[in-house]
Amino acid sequence: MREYREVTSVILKQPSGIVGGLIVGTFVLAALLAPLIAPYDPYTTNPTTVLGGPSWAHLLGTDDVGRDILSRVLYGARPTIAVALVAVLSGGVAGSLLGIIGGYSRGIVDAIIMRAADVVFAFPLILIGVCALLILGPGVVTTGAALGCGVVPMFARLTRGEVLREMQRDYVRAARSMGASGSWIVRRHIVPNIASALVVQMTTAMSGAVLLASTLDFLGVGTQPPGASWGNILQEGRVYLASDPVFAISPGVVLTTFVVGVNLFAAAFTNALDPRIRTRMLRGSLIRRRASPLVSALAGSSEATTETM
Amino acid sequence: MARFLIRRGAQSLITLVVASIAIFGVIRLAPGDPVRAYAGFDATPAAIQTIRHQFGFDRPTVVQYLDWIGGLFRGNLGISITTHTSVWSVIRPAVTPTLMMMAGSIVVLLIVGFGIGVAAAATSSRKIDAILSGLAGLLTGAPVFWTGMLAILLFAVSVHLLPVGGYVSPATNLGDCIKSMLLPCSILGLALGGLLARFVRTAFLDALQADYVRLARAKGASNARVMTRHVTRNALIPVVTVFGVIVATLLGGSVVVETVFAWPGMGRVMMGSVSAEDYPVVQAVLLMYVTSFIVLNFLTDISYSVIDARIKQS
Repeated sequence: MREYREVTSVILKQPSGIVGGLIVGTFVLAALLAPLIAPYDPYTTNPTTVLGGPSWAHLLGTDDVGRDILSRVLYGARPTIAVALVAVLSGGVAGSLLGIIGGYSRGIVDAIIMRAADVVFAFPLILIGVCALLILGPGVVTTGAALGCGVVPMFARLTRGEVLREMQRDYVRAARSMGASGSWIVRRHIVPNIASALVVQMTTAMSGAVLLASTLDFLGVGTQPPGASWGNILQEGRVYLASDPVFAISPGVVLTTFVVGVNLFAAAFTNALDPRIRTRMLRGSLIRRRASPLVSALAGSSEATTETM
Repeated sequence: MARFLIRRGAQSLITLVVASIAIFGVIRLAPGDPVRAYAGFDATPAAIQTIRHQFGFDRPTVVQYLDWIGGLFRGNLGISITTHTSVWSVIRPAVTPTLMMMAGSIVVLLIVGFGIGVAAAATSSRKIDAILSGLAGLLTGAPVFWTGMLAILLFAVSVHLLPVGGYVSPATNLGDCIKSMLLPCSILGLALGGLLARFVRTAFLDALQADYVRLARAKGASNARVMTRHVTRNALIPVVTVFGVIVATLLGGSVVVETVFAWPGMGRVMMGSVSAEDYPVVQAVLLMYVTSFIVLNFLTDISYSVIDARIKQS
């Protein structure tokens, strides 16, 4: 509980944590409350308001069949964020489990898992998504699971590396010499010690998953019309780029803001979960970086320091 | 070194073989019957059976896979279901445009990645560092299909400076070729340039703060020597490691950029074939993408073993 408070406090000490957290929080809240806050039904067409530009009645204008774009953007957050969450959670959990199994058991099991990870890693993620949706059909769970398969190798490699490092530590050797079983050592010692690295990776992977989910929607293989997602609203607006730029641009602004927000929050979260940085920040000293290392090197001085973040 | 290369080469080969099995298997799982699509909806059952036999689809899956692989070695990728011509004849015109886009994007990627990354690491101004790092973050965060659309709106629709899309071969007109490449290559290169910049910044910061740089300076090495022999060379090791992955990501990103800019490359062929359920083409394009990725990874391993003396010696 104390650690949880410390992590929260360190996140809130960083501008990137506050800004990122606000952006992510606002978007997630907007997605959850879309039915309550959306001014119109996102699926109701209106032939009298086709391609109407921004107005007080429709802040982001209307699309090619008269639907309110703001309402569709609000609803569009739902599948986009949901797919990314399913992808990161399923891929993260599966990859971590495989990494733990491979790292702990070593030998042939490890070799098979790592070669399988190499194979999946060789496929561009976007093509994994396209092929999986081709077979399984579109849907939040299928798209999320497809992208999740793609991120499994990343988590498997990271977890394996972390497990191998932890296995060399004295406390694991001590537990072994005391006769502790493999599963007990993994559950009680290794998993708690590598958990923060995995959580950081999951947060960082979230922004990539949002971009990929939107890309699949943009390519027309993800969320299908009339369903709304940020990617497919952009695809619909693309045709009207010249005549109605707000239609084409606004979902992109929303998507980019959300991804940048996730990245900012992930950066602050990474710092907060690093015990050394956290302790320094809680003591009141900011993260310091050697100032102008190149300039210092060229000037022959290496003493100057400056603050970052 | 030779043993390292042989081991990595063998690993790459195994990965490629397993990937080819995965591609073949995945395509067989896809819904729809390629033979029925090839024969047309009005074909009789007897005609369908004849075509099925003709293409060997009535044989065991393992035999079909071995046939496919054997065909690859003979330069035969199969027959396209939509065009009824060889798969290679469908893919061949798309290879050069994709390679051109990759080449142009890599140039932009290197300029942007090293430009922003080194400048952010080198600057003494906290504000400039924050601005450059923020710019890198923004470039990475913006989806390429959206930035592509913005670029079209700005440079093609508003000021008519560059074409909206399409590809012009350098053999047809070099000037038009460069114009046609500018927008798509910049968009793709900028997106991943932001990612590269973050790695470059970290790598240069680490190298500049390392003890060996202080030692080199203490020994009286010139600034140029410190930068070239020590900082850049050591900073390049982690950068080269990720460069292969970034270029491979570029390959995946090209599918999207090709769609936005109506670029007649392999990504568009792939997406068109997916829509048309032309699985022999999808299968071949996937294999080409995966082979490129595996070769890139192998080349990356070789290059960092050349740069990093520790790997070379081990």
